[in-house]
Amino acid sequence: MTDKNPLAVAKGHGPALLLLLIVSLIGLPLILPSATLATEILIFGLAALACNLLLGYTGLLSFGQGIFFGAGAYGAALLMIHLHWGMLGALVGAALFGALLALLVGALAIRRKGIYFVMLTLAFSQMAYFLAYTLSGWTGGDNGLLDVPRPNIEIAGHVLVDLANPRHFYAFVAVLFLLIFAGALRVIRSPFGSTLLAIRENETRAAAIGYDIRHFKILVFMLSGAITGIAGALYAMLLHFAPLSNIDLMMSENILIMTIVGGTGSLFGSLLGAGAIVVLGDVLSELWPRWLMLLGAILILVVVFMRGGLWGGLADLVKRLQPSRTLDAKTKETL
Amino acid sequence: MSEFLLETRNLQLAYGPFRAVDGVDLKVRAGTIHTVIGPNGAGKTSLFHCLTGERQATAGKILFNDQDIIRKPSHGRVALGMARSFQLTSLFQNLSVRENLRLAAQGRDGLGALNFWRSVEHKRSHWDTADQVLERLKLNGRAETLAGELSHGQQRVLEVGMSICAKPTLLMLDEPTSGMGIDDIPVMTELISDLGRDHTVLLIEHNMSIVMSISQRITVMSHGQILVEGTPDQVRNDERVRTAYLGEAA
Repeated sequence: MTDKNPLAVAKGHGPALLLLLIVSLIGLPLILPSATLATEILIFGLAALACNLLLGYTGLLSFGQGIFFGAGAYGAALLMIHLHWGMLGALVGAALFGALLALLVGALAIRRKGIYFVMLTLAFSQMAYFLAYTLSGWTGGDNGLLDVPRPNIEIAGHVLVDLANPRHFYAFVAVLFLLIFAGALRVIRSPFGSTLLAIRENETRAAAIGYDIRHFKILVFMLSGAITGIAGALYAMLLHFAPLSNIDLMMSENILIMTIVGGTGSLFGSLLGAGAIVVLGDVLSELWPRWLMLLGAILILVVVFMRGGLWGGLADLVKRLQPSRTLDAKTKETL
Repeated sequence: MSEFLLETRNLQLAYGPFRAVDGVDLKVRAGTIHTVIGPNGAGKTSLFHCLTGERQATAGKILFNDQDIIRKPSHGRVALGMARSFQLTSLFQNLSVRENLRLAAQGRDGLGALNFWRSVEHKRSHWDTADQVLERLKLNGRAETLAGELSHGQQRVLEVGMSICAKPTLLMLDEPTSGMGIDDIPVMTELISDLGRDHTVLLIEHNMSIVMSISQRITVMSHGQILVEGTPDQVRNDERVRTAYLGEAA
């Protein structure tokens, strides 16, 4: 599933990738019918990016991403509702909450490898769902947590940005996305990130040359949990609502599907994957109530015929059509 | 400080009632190339696993620089100055040759490698080490090639080369010529004797021509125990060694 050499993307192409991202972030709300849909894409793009750090860069298939997404949503909502925390406080809280839960899940799950690791994340996912279901006093149980606020960005009572406006909220999320994406690029190109690739490639050798694998896996889990927590918080703010489905196994699956469809070899692929699935869901669900079947078919097609995911497919296409990369950077984002 | 860099005392590795390593007292003098040989099933690889930390010895002591390391996990032994290569080539196949070596150099940082806010470019010393080792392995021309795309012989060379990146005092090489074509073997022999100038080398090897030409000391194992230890000449002329090998063949 993994692209042959993700370092090829990580090395040297950083500025070009960021430029491509900025163009995409500006173009997205212009192409799509609503700013809300564009915001949703970015939010799931964040969740998929966080999942990609685990799957694409460390080789860890986690079915626990929904835990951190849901936890971020509930955590931020509760902080805002009960403690009246502002926007940034709620986001930091969600990130910490996500990281903390990832520490718990990660510390136990990484004691096993391969299929057993996957099963452990599945088990945690089930537990988290029923925990949220049971604690209905806090989470609203089946009804979800209602009336989640979307606070404005204020300094000393003075409103800097009014986020009630969907376009403003999109811009805010876009800036966050850019910052987190740039941060994640940095992480990939750090000693830590390069070691993750080594672990993905060959765990035994990585241990033999001196790396304590557990520490690396736990740290990447926490980073992933923090980013997913932020995504969950933003989603609750977008909907003004934190449904129980946020922490459902289905959410973990969706995040994984977006990551795989987008391509595990590139962080930008995660945004593509999220975009493709969110837009498809939006379009298809209006045409046909059984649209999830089509989604399954698309996943099969991508996995079988496009091993690098959408990102890999596009990169191939660009290579075949035109020798010049810079021109294509512009055409790529329209997809 | 004792004259031995690595010393085992009554080392034992048991699988149930079977003792793969049965009371081994190995003494590796600093600055030598010390080879462990023996017929198949003699316990060489089991001994090697205890030394690298891959297996937990069931009894005895392993002294490295006079420090008992028997409970240290494999990754913890790197920072002390021990490094190993694998019998079955174990590389980062989809990463470049240079990156393979840089990662191996970075490994000695231990938890320092958890640094996620700085670029890898920042640590010049790891890149410098990688480039020096590339030169030494004569792989400079293939620096940006993916490790998996190297020829088998070159992969074996890289396999051994990765173990010197952490600047170890003790190199433990597990059958470095394993699976190598007859044409590539002289390259490996030369490389190991070259590495022997800067490192103490503990070698496990089947290929007798290598063993006899580059080792200063040879330990012969049989049935989990040390049969004979001595210089290549002593071992060559030892009656017990012949019987052990011939007995195996017969």
